[in-house]
Amino acid sequence: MRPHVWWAVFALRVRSMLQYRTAAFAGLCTQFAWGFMYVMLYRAFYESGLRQSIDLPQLVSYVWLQQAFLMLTNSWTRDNEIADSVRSGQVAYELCRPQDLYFIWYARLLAQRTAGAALRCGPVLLLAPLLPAPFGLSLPASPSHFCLFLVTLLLAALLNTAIMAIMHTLVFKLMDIYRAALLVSTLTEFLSGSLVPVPFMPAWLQTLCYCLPFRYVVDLPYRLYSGNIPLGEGLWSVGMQLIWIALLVFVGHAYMDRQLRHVVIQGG
Amino acid sequence: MGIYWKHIKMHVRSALEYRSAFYLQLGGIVLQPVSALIGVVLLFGSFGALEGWTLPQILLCFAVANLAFCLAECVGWGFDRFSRLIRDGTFDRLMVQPRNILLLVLCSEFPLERLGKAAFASALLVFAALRAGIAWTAYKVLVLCLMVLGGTLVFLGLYIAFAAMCFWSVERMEIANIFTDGGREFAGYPLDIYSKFFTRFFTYVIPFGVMNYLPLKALLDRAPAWQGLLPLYSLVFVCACAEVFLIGVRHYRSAG
Repeated sequence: MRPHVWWAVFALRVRSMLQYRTAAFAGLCTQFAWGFMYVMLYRAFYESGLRQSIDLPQLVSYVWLQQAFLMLTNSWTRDNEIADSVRSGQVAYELCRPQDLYFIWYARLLAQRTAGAALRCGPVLLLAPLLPAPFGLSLPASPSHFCLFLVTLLLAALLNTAIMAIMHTLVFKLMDIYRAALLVSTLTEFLSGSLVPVPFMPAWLQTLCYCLPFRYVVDLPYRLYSGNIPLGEGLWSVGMQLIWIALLVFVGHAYMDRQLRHVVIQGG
Repeated sequence: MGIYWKHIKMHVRSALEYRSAFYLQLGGIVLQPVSALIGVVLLFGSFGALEGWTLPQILLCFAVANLAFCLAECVGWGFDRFSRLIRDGTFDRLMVQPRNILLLVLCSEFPLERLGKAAFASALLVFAALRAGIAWTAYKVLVLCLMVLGGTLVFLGLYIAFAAMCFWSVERMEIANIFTDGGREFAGYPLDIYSKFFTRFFTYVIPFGVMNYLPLKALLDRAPAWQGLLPLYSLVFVCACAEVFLIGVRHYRSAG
């Protein structure tokens, strides 16, 4: 697929998303409320429980970053138009175009997430550091941690989109994005460390998470920021992210090809 | 009431028409509370303590909040999806029927597969109740039932109140989720672990406290027994929410 087509799909989607400013504002309030409640919950645990391998300020940063870039790294945002296009048969028009359907979808999904994050991350990143002591977002551990955080966050978005693209391809089989999402999103959410941060998991579950791609979406960038993951491991993990992106894009592409070979468009 | 059961039966039968799709959805939908439960267990397992509450006691809170949420979701789905009823004109059709409008919206939908979550939460509730270290008496069993019922009414009240927002803004705001989903998530823990302001807000303004935290203390004999009857307060809350909705109905002008 030629890059300028890809870029056009992307830019179109970003512009249409930017129209929904009220929705963005509502989302912002939601993110602050959830962030606050999580911080309070964790504080209560830290006050009465055992010492952990991640300390409270690091965890609070994790929570705020997760809220700030929620649109980029969550596993629930989906594109209902894509799902509807398969159900209604609209997708037939897309297939007539001389572009690869997988990459059109990939661009759309990525754009949806980027636009959403661009709209929502600003206020959280500006206000969260100003909050009083246990509630605030700390500064990054060092400038190099920060740079590596940005790189891993970018790759996390690409990786997450590759996972979500596979989920959307399941619509060809299940005819319904909701069912596909229930399964894929719940598992992704759990294994990425969105629900419970990976350091709180028992050893065997941590090992499992490290063997799967999902933790490279949430766990890696947000813990790297606060220095809970050292630079050396961070660098090595960037390589893992690249491998997973390549692998999942390849698998997703092949899977869609397979599905398309069986697809029957009804009607004339 | 007869009308309500007739509608429910109809919805159940129509859901069971597509049996395999129904079971698939049922399985998928139970995954959500299961992963939330694993989350609570892992956090508690990792820290080992939470302000003097034992794991079964926390799970009891969690189960009550989840069960109440699921039941309210099943019963109040029509209110959760209310903006759609307004946009596609279904609400106008309901308005001309000679029945109570609240009842008609309650009847309009019943997502049967969501009862799967309720079944899971009930099983957890029984499990946690037996291990929470409560000396069970007939009165305490009654209190437990009231907790579930009261919680359902609180969530239902929220659905009704936020549906009323559609009369003024057409689209239901995402902010509503802070209270519904957020309430399920955070009232799943005993409220006193949060800061004073939040505890008070969720006791006096939106009474999540009356569904699990306050009566649970009575169940554990840490508070006077009358505190177990506090879930009844949710009746006041749900009536207030219904009143807001009815004010909205009076302001309503059809879109079509």
